[in-house]
Amino acid sequence: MSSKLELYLSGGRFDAAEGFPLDSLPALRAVGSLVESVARDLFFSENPERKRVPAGFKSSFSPALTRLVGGGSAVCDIAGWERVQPGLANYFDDAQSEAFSLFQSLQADQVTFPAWCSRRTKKQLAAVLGAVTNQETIRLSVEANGVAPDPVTLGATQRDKAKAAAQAVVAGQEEDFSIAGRIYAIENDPWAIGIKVREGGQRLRIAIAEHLRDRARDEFDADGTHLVLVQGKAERDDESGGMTFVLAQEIRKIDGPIIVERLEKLAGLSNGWVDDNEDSRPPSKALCRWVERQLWQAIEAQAWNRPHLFATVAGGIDAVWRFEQHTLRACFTSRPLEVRLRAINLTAKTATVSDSSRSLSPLIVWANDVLEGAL
Amino acid sequence: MPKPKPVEITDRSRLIHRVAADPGWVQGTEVSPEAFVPRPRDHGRLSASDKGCTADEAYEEWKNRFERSRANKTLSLTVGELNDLGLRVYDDSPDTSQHVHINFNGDEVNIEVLSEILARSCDVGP
Repeated sequence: MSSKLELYLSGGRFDAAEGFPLDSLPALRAVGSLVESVARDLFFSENPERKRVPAGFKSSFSPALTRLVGGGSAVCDIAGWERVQPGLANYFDDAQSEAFSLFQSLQADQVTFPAWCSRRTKKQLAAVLGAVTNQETIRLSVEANGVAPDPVTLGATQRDKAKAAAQAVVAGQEEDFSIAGRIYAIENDPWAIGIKVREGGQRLRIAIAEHLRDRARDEFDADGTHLVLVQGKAERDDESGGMTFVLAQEIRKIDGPIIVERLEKLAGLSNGWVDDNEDSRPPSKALCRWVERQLWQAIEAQAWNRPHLFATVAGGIDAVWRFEQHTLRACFTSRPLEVRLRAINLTAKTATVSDSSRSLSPLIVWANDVLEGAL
Repeated sequence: MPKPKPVEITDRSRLIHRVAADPGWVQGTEVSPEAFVPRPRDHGRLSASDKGCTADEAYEEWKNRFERSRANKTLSLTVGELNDLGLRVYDDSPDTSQHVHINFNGDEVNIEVLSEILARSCDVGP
């Protein structure tokens, strides 16, 4: 995937200088560090049993300023993910989208951070926001394969609010964790569970609070078919980003059909899968991987059930959650890479559509508002 | 040969069948609303099969018409269910064909809502 982040800086020092003011360079460095930190969070979100990122994770990522247009305002293109090792590239590709979504979420009245967002990332975010002065405006856009959503512009008031929210969390010691998985082992004295993370085979041992032992036993006895959400407290190593799980305080069942196999099936559809018409095409594997990541983030952050998944004629994917009187559809498309929610109220016979986003996380507040707790 | 003039089907008990692909639009008993959304070339008239045929017969005729089609499921509703949503069904083909259409044209039609209701109410076969 060919992609770049574009940073547009205006006002204050940028109005005063003929070219790019050198004392603004930390803002560019901070954006690179933010993307690296988000990629690290995504890695640990999918590999919670790991304490460190693989060798070369950081060193192969070399964000670079590839275009600078200065004078009155500055347009800076930041690129350089091409050198990232192939096995790790998807974390950095998605990190751009997620960093952009973080900026998008800062525009909301109430700032909420996605579940994967670590203290380190919040610290980097605060650094980016703090690198521009009150008189200046920062605008971020992300472009992949020549397609870009609307840029996000942050003025001084929004930045101050976001910085305060980020710094408040940075001050804490323990973090909440939320991991989906299947319980495959139970230990007693001390009580702990072994889980296979999400629908895969990665194993993790987590100590559990005593009041959870019956629930854990029930889910363990469910023949390994039940997916559960395990939530509790963890400590994160600020240096490596890896988590040490202190104690699970909640275990709840997650319903719905298996995600991974279903996405593989959808990716295996052939061209012309609808009515033999060649304009119908299957979702790409890259889209399926992105959708899978978005869904797990929503499930783990909100305890949503797993949705039913369908292909669309245009090569997208629809995730559908059905409730008695409501339906929520997340419509994922690849060009542009974005998601839009549709909430349908079957009683009122109305449909409401959200803005589009590069990530499902910022739309969760919208969904909860529109569906009035049906989720 | 000129196409016959569409005639509305008014027998509320008649079954109307759509043919759809599993896994694209069908997952177990759940159906994608997109299976009931007319595409631009349909001009608001969603193709289906009727003329008193069963779901199996509708599927057989479909396979004969579109040999390379991957569709393998039938989605069935009654004319009454469609009428109750404000949708009318028309026989628009010669007697030798089972082709009918569901008319989605009209000011009051909210395709987003209707397609979801139809996806929830249809019977999935075989």
